[in-house]
Amino acid sequence: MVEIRSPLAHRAAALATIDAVEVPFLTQIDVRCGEADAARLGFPLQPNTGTGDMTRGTLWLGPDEWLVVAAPGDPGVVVDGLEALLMDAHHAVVDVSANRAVIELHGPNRLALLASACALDLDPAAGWFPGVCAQTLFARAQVIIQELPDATRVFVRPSFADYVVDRLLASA
Amino acid sequence: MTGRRLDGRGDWLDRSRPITFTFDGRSMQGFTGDTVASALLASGEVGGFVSPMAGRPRGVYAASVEEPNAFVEIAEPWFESIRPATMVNLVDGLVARSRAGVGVLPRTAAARSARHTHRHVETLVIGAGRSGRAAATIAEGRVLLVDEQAVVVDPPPNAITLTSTTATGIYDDGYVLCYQRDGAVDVFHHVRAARVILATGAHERPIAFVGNDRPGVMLASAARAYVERYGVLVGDRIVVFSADHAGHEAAEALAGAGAHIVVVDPAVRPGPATERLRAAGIEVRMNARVVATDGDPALTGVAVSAADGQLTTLPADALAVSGGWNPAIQLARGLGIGLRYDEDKTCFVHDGSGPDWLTVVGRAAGHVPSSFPIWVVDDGDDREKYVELQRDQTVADVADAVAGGLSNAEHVKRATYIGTTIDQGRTSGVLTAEVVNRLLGWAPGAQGPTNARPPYTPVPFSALAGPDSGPVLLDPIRVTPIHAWHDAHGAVYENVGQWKRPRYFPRGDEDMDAAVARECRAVRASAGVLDASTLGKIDVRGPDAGVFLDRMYTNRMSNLAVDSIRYGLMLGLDGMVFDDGVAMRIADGHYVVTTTTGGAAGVMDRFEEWLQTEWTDLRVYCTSVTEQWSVVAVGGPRAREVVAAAGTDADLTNDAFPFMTFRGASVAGVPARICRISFTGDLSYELHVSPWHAQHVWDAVMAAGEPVGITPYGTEAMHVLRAEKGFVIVGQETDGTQTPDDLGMSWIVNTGKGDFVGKRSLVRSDTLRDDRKQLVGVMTDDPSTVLVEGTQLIGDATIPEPPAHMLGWVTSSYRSEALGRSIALAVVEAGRRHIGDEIHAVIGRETVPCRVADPVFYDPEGTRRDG
Amino acid sequence: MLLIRCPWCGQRDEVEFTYGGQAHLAYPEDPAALSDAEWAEFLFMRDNPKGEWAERWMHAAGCRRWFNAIRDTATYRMIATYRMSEEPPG
Repeated sequence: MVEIRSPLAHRAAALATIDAVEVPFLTQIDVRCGEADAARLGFPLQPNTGTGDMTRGTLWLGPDEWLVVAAPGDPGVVVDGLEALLMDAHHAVVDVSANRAVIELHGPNRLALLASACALDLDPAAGWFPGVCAQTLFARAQVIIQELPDATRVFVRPSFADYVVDRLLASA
Repeated sequence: MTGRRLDGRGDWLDRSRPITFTFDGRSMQGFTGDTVASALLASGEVGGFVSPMAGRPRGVYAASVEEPNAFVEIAEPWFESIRPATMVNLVDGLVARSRAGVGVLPRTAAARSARHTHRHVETLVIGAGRSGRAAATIAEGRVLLVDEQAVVVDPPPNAITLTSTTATGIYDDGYVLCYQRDGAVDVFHHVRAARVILATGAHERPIAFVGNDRPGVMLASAARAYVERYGVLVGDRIVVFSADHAGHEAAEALAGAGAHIVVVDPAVRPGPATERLRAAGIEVRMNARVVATDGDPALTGVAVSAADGQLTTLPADALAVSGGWNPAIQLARGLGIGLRYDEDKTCFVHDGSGPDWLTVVGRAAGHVPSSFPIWVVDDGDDREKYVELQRDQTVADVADAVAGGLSNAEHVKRATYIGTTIDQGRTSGVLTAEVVNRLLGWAPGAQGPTNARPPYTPVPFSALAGPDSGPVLLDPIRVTPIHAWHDAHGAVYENVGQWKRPRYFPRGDEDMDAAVARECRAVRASAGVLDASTLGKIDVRGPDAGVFLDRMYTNRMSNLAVDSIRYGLMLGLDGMVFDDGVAMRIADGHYVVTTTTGGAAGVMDRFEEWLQTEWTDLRVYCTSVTEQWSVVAVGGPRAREVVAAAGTDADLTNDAFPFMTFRGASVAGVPARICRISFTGDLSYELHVSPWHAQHVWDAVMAAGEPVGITPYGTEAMHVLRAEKGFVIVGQETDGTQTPDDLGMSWIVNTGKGDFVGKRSLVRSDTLRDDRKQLVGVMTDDPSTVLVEGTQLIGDATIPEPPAHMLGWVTSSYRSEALGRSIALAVVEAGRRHIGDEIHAVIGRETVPCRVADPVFYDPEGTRRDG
Repeated sequence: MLLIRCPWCGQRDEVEFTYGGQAHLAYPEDPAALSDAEWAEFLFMRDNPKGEWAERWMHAAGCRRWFNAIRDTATYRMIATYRMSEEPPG
């Protein structure tokens, strides 16, 4: 019997107090390739934008780097699919599903809560709305923040995840 | 009794909500909107404070942050060590105590709690006076208006207005820190503004004359503010000594509130303001000066000298002084704006320089009343004319500094402490500079006030820290997925960067030495397990991956066979060891390299730096996978049995699975990459698994190893075991000044391949010196002596007179269970030539005899490697 | 807290970046052919002008790209940023 454990399983109750949950075991694949290949695959070409929705999407991380996010399952299947599409190009497709924990924030105050430790302009009027993402700092942790309809996802290295939760709690 | 409350006056008061508070143990009354200062004045208090240096009786002097006398400590409902009484708004249950200029840090009271937040606006307006409100009203985009006072009348409808909010500093590119006091909670706003408008007004300047520090003497604008804001009249017979128009307006306001006013005006001829006062029936004495004050100690009389020298003493219970106005542009000075002296206003104004996103408006921009130039009244003893109330410094003290050779106001400040005060020289700075100018025979404005730096007013450290303090949030604490198990099994941790790594696992009442000794014995005799998850891991892919790694490491990686592992060193361009790790060849154009725990980010950064800035033609991609893998390292002669018992489909026999190779296999039912790498010299398997399975695999290994007494061990035992084998730890044996040859590792430098990072530096004349410090072992003559790491090593048994020549130092030092004695690694001048020689370790004023040894103490043939 | 314009991500706080020193210093073609003095010149010596100069930054907390910048060392004013592959503006 294999016991599988996600990085924030022990913080579920704490996260609930700030209207947040961990989204465990998402498939996350780091893809590096040129812009032409990315366009062919339908990856977002505009910096700091994401395509897709809660269940599957692709985030722009850099001019030659994307994060493909998909539902929990077998990352190998997604890796194989991407490898097949990119096999003739200079590319890298790397399973990084365990490399980041994912916290999903809900509620009307979630951006104000993030603003306690994040220096981005999170005002919708300034361009922060669903479809936007950014790599930035949350206090002392490097994170990816993704805006979805009625939710904000924070991707963070598991070793920094407890810290991010504690910092959110301290500012709530 | 002098001061009293007026009916129907006080725009900032809410008389429907009276407040009882305690001051120096006495119960007092006030209203919501009052400050401690206004409430004290309303009750007839004139003095109540003392100066910090000379203990002179003092009273409330100002109405805002420029207050130099009246300071209080707040004990309830929260603790604050010291604040100006003019800035403490009454709240229910307030307990305040007067303090003489210096606060006391609390021993037991909790700091005020503090929050931080970030805000982005198109316009930030600092100061909600008339100019500030007007600027905010016409500003575009998101507008934030802040004011340090608790009340803003008529806030602009298009702006967010924050009261009790001080802009403490303006920094690059419109970054402004705003400190808001919200009851017992501090809020720090990190504001990024596209445009900043400084509407901070101006601070009234006093005049120096004999007896100008007596309780009852205050700034004229303050006396006026007390009437208009708080409905308090500070006296019934008030002398107004004013060099400018605003002082005359204050006289009018005070007369209108019912006081008997005499205006003393140093100007020779009356102006329109004077005519208006006389028309209202107020006595104005032109070409006159205040030359002294009487009182016991509170003011009872003011001595006035006419132009012809005739002296009159006017009975008075308050003396309102105005020597002119100083625009409050301290916040802008930190940005390097320039000042120029305005003769008409007798003050320093912004010269228009500075960043284009900053605008200064209103009185802060110099729109202050014209002023007759008077700073010091000549009559009388300079030792009784105060220029800096908070430091009890007089005109004579400034003269002493100048007589001592100082001419620059900045130097005079340091010599006299003038301006090093809670009010940061607001009432003393320009005045002092003018006194210095005059003493030197320089024109007014020759030099201005000393420089201003953030914070604008004092800020508690607790507010600056916000939530980022204390054991949990001062810095991220990074742990591995197996951490809960370590905690549950009594691990004592070591900080490795931000990571907590188990250092040892004490059993019973073991101290560190006992636990580490047991763990070492267990690994050498049987099997141990170590959580090595923190090591950095980087995935390197592409047709040029091998070429790239050949350039980054000292040895060749491009000819590494698939499924093989090779240890490598990375150097800086200066040829010094930067990091080490192993490279694993997964497939043709695919490697995974490891780094030290602390070096992970640095190595990843440098990989990308070379690829993005120099070798843009190489087709390589690097991806950090440090937390994509957890590592459970099983080591010891019984390690093979343990891994087999945990369940694996890998063939663990030595021939099928040689040293420095890896296998993709399953372990305990989950996918794994099993690597035969050893940092202890014993047979060792590193199990690289998904972090989601890490605890499961650890549990499986512990259960599988139970029959052979498998022992979890920490970083301390790991350090001892590798030291016995002479393996270096980057950052322990190295400090950025060791080459591979210094470490006895010239075998790892492949000079036959092309250029690699650091190669050229290895043949610099300095790098080829034959007296460079080299890695050696050091054995104390007394086997029970364990040297302290960092101990200096010299050649003589007696410590010579300074300068003593240090041959080297101890880099690692432990008690070795395997050898039954102490061992140490060190770097020593020409160390390898001196193996076998005597050397001495300096401990305090004594030395301890040792011998230089080979750094490999144990199993030099490597027979334990294959189990 | 400087505001630095990453050529991809736009304006971000200074703390998101790592500083990379003087820009436009090409790694020598043939280090082995340089004398010790010439190699030390490349390794250790850097310009230190008062005023505008070209320097490198890396968006460490963001897209992790290296780029160049023109900054005034006396006023700290960031004048321009441009990609590694681009020519300096002006």
